[in-house]
Amino acid sequence: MNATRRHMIQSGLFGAGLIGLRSLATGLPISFLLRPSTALAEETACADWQRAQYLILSTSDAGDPVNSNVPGTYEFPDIVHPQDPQMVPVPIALGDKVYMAASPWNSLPGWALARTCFFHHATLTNNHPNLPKVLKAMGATARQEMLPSIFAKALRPCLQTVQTEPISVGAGEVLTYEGRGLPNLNPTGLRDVLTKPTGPLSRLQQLRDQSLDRMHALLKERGTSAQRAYLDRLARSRAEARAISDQLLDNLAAITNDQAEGQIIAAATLIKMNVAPVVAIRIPFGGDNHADPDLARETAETVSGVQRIGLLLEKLREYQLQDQVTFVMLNVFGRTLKKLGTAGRDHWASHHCSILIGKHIRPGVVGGLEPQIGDYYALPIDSKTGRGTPDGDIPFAETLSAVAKTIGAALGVPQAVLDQQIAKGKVVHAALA
Amino acid sequence: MASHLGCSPARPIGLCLALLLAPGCSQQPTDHADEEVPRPPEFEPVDPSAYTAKVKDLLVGQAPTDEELQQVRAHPAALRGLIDRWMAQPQFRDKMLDFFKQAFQQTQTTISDYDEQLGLPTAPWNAQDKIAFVRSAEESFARTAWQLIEEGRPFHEVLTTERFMLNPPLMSAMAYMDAVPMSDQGQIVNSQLWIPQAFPNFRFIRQTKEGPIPLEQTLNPAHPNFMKWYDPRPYMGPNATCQQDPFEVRQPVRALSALASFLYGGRQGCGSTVSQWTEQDWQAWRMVTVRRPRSGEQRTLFYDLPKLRTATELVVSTPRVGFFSTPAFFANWPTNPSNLARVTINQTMIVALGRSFDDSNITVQVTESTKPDDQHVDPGSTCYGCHRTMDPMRDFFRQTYTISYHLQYAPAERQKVGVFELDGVKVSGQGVHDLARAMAAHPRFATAWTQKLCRYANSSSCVEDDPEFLRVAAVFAQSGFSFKALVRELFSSPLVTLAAETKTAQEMGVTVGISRREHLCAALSYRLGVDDACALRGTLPRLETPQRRTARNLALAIPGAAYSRGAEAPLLPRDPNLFFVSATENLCGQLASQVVDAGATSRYTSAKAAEAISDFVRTLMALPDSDPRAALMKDILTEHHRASLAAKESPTDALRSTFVLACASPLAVSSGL
Repeated sequence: MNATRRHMIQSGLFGAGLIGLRSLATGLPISFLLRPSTALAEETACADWQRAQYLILSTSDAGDPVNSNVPGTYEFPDIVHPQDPQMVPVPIALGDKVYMAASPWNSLPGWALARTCFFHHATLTNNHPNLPKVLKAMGATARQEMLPSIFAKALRPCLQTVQTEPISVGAGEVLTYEGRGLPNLNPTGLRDVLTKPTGPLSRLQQLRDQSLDRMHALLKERGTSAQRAYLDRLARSRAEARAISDQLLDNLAAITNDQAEGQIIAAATLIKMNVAPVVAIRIPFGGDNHADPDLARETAETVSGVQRIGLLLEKLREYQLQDQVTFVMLNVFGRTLKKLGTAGRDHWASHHCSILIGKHIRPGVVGGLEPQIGDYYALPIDSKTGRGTPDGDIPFAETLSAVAKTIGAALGVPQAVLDQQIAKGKVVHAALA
Repeated sequence: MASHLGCSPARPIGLCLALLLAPGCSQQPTDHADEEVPRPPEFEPVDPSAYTAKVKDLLVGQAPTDEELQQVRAHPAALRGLIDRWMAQPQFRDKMLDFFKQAFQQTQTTISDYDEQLGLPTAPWNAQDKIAFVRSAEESFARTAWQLIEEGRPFHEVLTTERFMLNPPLMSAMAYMDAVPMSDQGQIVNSQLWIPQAFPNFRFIRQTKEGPIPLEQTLNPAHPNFMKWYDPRPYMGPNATCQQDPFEVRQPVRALSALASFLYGGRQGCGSTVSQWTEQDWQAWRMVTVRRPRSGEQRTLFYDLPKLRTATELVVSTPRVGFFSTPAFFANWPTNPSNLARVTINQTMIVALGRSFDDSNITVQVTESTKPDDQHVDPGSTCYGCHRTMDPMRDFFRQTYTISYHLQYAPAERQKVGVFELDGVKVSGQGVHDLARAMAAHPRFATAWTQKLCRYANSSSCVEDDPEFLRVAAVFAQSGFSFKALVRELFSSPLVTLAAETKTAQEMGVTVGISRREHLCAALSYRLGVDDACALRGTLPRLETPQRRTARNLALAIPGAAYSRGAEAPLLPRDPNLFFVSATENLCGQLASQVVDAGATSRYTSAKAAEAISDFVRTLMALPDSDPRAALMKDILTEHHRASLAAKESPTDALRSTFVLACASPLAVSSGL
């Protein structure tokens, strides 16, 4: 009797058997209700299934001195580097060339260095709050969309992720998607949110969902268009939540803190769970180090920062994702390279170095530096060779857009989409494998 | 100045400056302007049941009663009277305290954020004191604003007040900062260490072996036990120096620092001990006047606990005025030798007048050098225009405070004259008092605070040239800046109710969105009678439980309001996503075990399931019986309950599942349905 009752509810008016009515009630397309993780993928075509990559973006508004000790900065004697023995310059092989760099960079696994590019460019701002603008290529993106969102929208049809919107698990509340602010989720919060309850509440979830569908239908019947549109978004979110597989939830149990280690596990797990095409984290690399006697913090966090990148890459390899995920570090600005009377380094709009690591990245250094009044500037770039040169076809002011387009190309975003979405710059093919 | 150059009230000054003062600016195409923008749908007025529930939830976190809904249905103007009634409820105070903490940018701090201005590390402090200090610092100005409202003071006194709601531990911290000033170079200003000068025998001794020492002896400079403090918890670690009993610090600066830390349970280099502050001290809020000493008058001693426990004045040389000189505001916005208080003046302008020098919607590329950082920016560079107005304004701060926000003693800085310049209003002056007066007299004050409340209500901005918006702001100004008049006017306005079309609705659309964290957590707490349902308030470490930690993590995954550096508008998420859905469901699941069959005092029992379900509809889903949707929702809940029982779940689990269904329903987790 009880079993019959349960069966009746499950296959009743709003049960699985009448998917059309559920679709009417929730406003979701039938295809989404049948196969929520793949339905939206059918709405637009995937340009290149083989080339599509997930993106883990480390980004920060602190303006960390990432640019100060990378390959390409050791060619000039007046560029200041920490004197700590941990930061001693060492030769580092990137492809068929050898560069000098701070020794922590050489601690990355060999397979990772074989797909690592140091991309010198400007971010064109020296102001902390401008990280969102940098992530919009300083005004070069269509409709002021952020680069992570442009990439996510282009990649979702290929990756068939649960949601399109990028997720921040520690980068802060800096991301937007079609103008809407996206919340930041702490890794431990993510763990508790996605861990499904056990016991009776879990067993009864399907029944509750059917009841929720009925509520949605009733509210939509009496609601305004704005209320109906909101209810559709809520229903879609619920369907997305249900689409997450239980298989990998155990991985989240390994998250014990909200620091970079926790963010790394969260990011790798979210991608393994196929939740979103882009996940943003924050790996500290020296912070806003105006006052940093002996560049001690810069030293400590360069060491720990590279270690954490290594940890992330190993975690991706553990999940067998190393060939499907590209890692990028892009911050709000770099820092001054000369010693200019301050205890640490100041903001610097004219030079930053993005780190790109992924299957479609060719190892090496793109761009370069030139001394000008004040400090060193990113050089214009020759888009064919990737070399920094004063007469490069990518001018200084477009180097930010160029790195944005190159990242997009490495992720498998079609050239036409990149050109339509990012008004300036060129793909630097020399950075691509 | 900005208005001379054609800036409208809606145009951020940063944009004006960038466009008009910096000819080198390369203003980028920020949009594809020729792309077609979809037309908003035709306006549909919102039903009284939806907006009555929305307004009451926003103001007091509760569901409307049948009587209230019927009043509004019969006479929509009755909403104004109801708002007055709701404003008299204690929950309104609590909701506004939350709003003020955000609006005055007094939150988002951790204990280490206070180290620099305190001039001592807080790491060794007692764990309870760390939590209590952050909570107190963050609450202090919100309580101050509320007290000014309760006293009937004009709301713009939040900019000029020198009276603050403080408790003794906060007063002590502020007195200590005043007693041990630090220069721009981060050095102690030895010539201004007045305590060792007044008490040449000043030192710090902590001891356990001799047993308790009466506090009056410890505080009496003439007594042999002067500055000898009893530490009831002896150091038990391996450090031989720390094991010394008595443990004495003679060097004056170190003695001051060691004592200040000891008051909060810190033994510098030797771990933590018992705090000198009691739970009553942390709760002993009172309005305290912060003033400079009169001629010959001694300043407040940061360690004189009995006097601090009764004082209503804090006598210090360091000025404190308005929201922008509180420890929490300074902890939010530390400056540095390159920034030199630019961030401080910018955030002050954002809070006080809703204006930023660096609005996030502007895109100005820096395509040339900015000379680092002795002057921060080269004349002729793209940033120079902004700095030309901003830097004279930050000099109000530089004249008063050092980089670590201690009193400025450097003669060159103290002579500085600040120039406040915004929308045609130009005022010169010295120090933060003059800045406060200039801002309080500025015509944008009413606009700015009407806008902040609009965003609080709608998770979206009002259009500032909307005639209805201008009317509400004018009523606020004409009321003598009565905050309650503003609340009454705005929350009964179609700007919030959406009962009629406004220019804001035309341009911004009709906002229906998620109930943000602060609203949802308040509603769950008030409606269910559960204290701190989301476990967001800090608590003693010993009272922390895995359940509280999980509840807090779940709640933090629900998007809430937040502010960020340089942004005029706070981040106010309103769209659901899969994490919101999962978090609210899991939080409701946690609450189910606290309110359904949860012992003798349980709010709901499975023995009275029908009563419980009726209450779920009325209380959680905010549908009074006269709302035609109530009966339909009750049917759905009842059917779910029956189905759960039919599936052989226990009565308790069946009712808990029904609770989760109601608690996670669209009506319970949304605003504006």
